[in-house]
Amino acid sequence: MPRASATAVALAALLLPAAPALAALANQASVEDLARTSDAVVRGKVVSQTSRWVGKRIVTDVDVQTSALWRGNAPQRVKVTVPGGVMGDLGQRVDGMASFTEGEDVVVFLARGSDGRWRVNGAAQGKFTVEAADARPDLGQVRFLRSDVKSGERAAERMSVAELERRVKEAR
Amino acid sequence: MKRATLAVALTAAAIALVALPARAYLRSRGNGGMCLWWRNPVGVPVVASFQDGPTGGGCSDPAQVSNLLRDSLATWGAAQRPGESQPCTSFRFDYQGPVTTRAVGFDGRPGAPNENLVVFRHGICSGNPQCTGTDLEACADQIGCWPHDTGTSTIAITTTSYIQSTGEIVDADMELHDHSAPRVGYFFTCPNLAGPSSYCGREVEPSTFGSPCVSTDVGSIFTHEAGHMLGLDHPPDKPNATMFATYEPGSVRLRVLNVDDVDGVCTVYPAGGQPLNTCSGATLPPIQQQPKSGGGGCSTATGGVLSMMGVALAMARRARQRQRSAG
Repeated sequence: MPRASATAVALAALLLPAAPALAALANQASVEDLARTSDAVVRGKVVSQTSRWVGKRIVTDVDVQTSALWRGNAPQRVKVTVPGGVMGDLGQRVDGMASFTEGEDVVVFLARGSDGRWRVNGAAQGKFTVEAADARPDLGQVRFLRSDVKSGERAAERMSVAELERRVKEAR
Repeated sequence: MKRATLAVALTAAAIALVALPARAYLRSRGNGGMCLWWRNPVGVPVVASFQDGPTGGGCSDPAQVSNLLRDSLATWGAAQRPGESQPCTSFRFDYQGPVTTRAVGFDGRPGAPNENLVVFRHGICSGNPQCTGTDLEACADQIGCWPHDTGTSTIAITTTSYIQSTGEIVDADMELHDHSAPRVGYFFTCPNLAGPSSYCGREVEPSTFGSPCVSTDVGSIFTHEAGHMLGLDHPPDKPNATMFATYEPGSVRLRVLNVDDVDGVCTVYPAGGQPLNTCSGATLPPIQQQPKSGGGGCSTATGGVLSMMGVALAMARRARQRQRSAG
């Protein structure tokens, strides 16, 4: 692509509206908090996702192929259930909850519910998207209360994958 | 930088300056990118369930909570621009009082009840023996527990159901996580705005602290989440707005709309005008009233919704055809 066209495309992309977002109200958690309260923390790739009805709610089952188990125990291919999704032409958005896209490289803090289903621990704070050496949660939908992150710990926010992995593995 | 590249960059930058003025409010969007909006903003019915909370001593009288919810919802319909004496919006919540239902979401079956519900949740679903063998979301609707996490973080969420192709909201429900154990859920308080107040702390039972004190002000939460129910999101760089993305525990300030919140509700739902049903600022021709029931008699929720979606899609196609004809 000629440089001028590439520049135009890049600038045009900047003009596009921000990603859709609704909002939740949450306490800010540290990576260490999330790790301590999770049954497993995995890094993997989103393979597929399927929405279904639970009563009047839509939930989405996300298949994640695990490439590394950072903490706890989880299957090699773990099905993560998140609230919200699309069925036909009806969309349902549960604000502040993690969402996934197919092919996405992710780190997920997992909690296993008593219904046997895996869910994201800490809502949107419990899922990081990995791009190259960078890991970041999508917190655009979350509205935080005053943070009470302990000294020496770090909030669930953008950081290097290496630091995220270290903090997860060293959390006590 | 070559001249052509520089020209493109400068042109795009100039467009950006014109196209992206500082926005005082932000609209919520659906999964398909459509802005969310209510077709009939005058009298959006809302009911509430106080069966499962709040239970703390700071806000345990259902009548008091109910009145505060009524006032919080009415705040949006009373939005006025500075210097004006009448509300600048057509939007009105119609609070219809307490109910006993706990079910969140949308049922598209003909005649199915679809309350816009405000509901308190108490206790964590996961690990609750009554939830064994069932989806936690279904269990929450049955026994009133919190299904969304283990209770350490989330205070309140809003679930919005909408038509994917148009952004029309068909249902909005607010769930609030009541305190049930140390660091599980939140103490909600309903202080009177007339007097001074202090912060109780998250883990101090308000009734034992003294009165008045504020922990998590339920009026602030109601008002903010109601903004989401009507289709507003967090505005960037507007720290004084009720819809801004930070809440200081102990504060009751979010009960009062600021000029950016007023701008949002009055632009999307102007008094005497049509709802702004696109993100662009232009209003599409009103779509014909979409029936919520009739005809299909589908036996499952999914079938009912899909049946209704077919009607919506046909309407959307007709709307696009009308636009093309008009253009």
